[in-house]
Amino acid sequence: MDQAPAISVVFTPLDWVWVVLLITAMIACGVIFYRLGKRSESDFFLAGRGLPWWLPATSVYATHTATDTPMWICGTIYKWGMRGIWFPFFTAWTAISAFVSTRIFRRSLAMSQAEWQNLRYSGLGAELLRGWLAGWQTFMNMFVLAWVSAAMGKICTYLFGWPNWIGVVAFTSICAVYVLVAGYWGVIMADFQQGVISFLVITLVSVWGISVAGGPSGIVSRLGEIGEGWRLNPFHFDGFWGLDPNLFYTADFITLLIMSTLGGIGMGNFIDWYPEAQRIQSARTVRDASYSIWAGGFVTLIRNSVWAVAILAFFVMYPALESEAQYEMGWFRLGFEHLPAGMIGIFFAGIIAIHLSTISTHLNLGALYATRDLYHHYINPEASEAKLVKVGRINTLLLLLGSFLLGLTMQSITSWLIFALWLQAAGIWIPSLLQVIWWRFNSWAYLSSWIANLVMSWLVVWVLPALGILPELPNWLNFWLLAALVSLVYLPVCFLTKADDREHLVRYYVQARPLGFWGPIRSEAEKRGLLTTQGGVS
Amino acid sequence: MAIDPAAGKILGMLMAYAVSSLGLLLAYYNYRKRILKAERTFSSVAVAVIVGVITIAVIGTVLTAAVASSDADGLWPAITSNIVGLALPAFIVLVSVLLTWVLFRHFSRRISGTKRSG
Repeated sequence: MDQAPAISVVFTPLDWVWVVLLITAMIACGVIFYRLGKRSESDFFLAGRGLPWWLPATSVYATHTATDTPMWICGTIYKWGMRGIWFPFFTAWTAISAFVSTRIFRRSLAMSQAEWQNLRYSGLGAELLRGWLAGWQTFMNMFVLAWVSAAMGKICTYLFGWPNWIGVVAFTSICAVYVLVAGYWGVIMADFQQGVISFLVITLVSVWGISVAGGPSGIVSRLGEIGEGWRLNPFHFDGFWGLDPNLFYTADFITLLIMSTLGGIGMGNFIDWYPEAQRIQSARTVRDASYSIWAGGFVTLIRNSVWAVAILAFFVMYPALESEAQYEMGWFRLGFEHLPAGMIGIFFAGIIAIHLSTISTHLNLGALYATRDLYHHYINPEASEAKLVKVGRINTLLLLLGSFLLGLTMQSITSWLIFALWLQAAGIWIPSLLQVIWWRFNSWAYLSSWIANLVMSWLVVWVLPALGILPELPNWLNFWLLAALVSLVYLPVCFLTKADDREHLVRYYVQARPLGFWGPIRSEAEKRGLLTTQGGVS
Repeated sequence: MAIDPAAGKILGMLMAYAVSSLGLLLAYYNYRKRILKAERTFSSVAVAVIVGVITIAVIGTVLTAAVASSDADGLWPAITSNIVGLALPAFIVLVSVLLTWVLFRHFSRRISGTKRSG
């Protein structure tokens, strides 16, 4: 793996003092809520479902601002110019979701997305889906923990020359203190504080970098001078469509735009949906849930824009970097190479805040699936609240240890696991929409789409190109090809198997009030007097 | 690994403080749990004194670190030579502490209403 060259960063005693003070403040902010976290399973994982919208909103933003996020955005903007902004634009799905899937999911009262499968579907298929999703989410949260911790290890090696394991283990362990003690209460409160710190630091460092590069007008004129003025245009595409994976086509843009808009209607379309689902259920009302998802996504898009301009500033200062490992560290270099003493420490503290806010969410979320859906649902349905909180803490600890093992081996497995995250979503993207908007879409169809997608994505993206049977395809074509191939499995399965139990569907409809093609179920609910013809619950 | 004797003394002192503090914490926790509610343990004057001492210690540490991090001779030149590196981080730390306090106040009614589970 191509490594970024280490830079010489001078940390003065003043910098270390700021780092220690802020870490102390962050841990304290989580720990002081321990008495609320231990009250019940619902408190340990959803803060008792009583939060005002601004708390989960900040948590949405803070969670999706991870240590690897500036590397990813820096990599795309440096490589593609402003058109690279369309890659992280998928966050805009929250703007649609706030009015559609967020409301439907909050009304269902499911604690997790796996539990929702039991409410939406019936019978053996629903149980299998719940088990599948719970296992998948427990693992994926452990993987994300490992992935983000590995990024922290990389940054610490880059800055201080520390062995990788120190960065992987040390800061994640700090975070585990308040997640173990206070559960989701600690996560959400610390996220609020860390979200504010990280937004201040991101803005400060980016504005500093832009000013060092000559300000916005200086950046524009410098780009023109070196013949790179096209980088300012977010709609500068290399033709409408094509097969070269190294070019950016209008077809890529349209695919990303469709994903970021229609995606908001479905549930589970993106890996981001799962942390959002927890925040949706922790809001005190349906309206609070909607506001939180909309506002969290909005602040995330603002953050992307601030970063994008800062990366253009970095580009005009260092325009000739060819290795991705070098230019993906651009935003960090802006800060560490140009800030004065004292500010370096606060910048590093901001990076730690970014790290902790993501880690804390995934520690608690992974433990939620392991506790609520695996332990409570399948192993010990009669467990007391105190027992469930205890099991929640044990699962948090197990996830932490698992993430260390995975994080320390991450160098060699990153590429295929990132593939697992993004491309495996392609095949289940449409089924995740259908399960929300179409009553006839059943559990067997959704389960088959997950399983078929695993096989298809391996074949299309890795195996067939490696055997020379299929060329390496651009992202947009991979996405649509996988969507089409997987539909060849789940559509026949859907029509060849029975619809879910009518009684169960009516109960779900009355509670969740989904949009879309639910005519027969709605008529049945009205016939039974459960709904008025004006749409209200009777 | 050879440790400088002066560093060894400081390290020993820090370890002694750490272990003693742990004992202090356990004693306080046990006292609060078995004998008194936390809210009654310290009077408002005692809380103000504790907060004041911690604030003075933090400010003293920051200023000492500012002098140690600067080439300037003396406290005031060290402060004026790096006003940005002191003021902006201090603002961010202050915001963090205030946010924690505001959140705690906001939810303190629920915390005080918590029934003890053992």
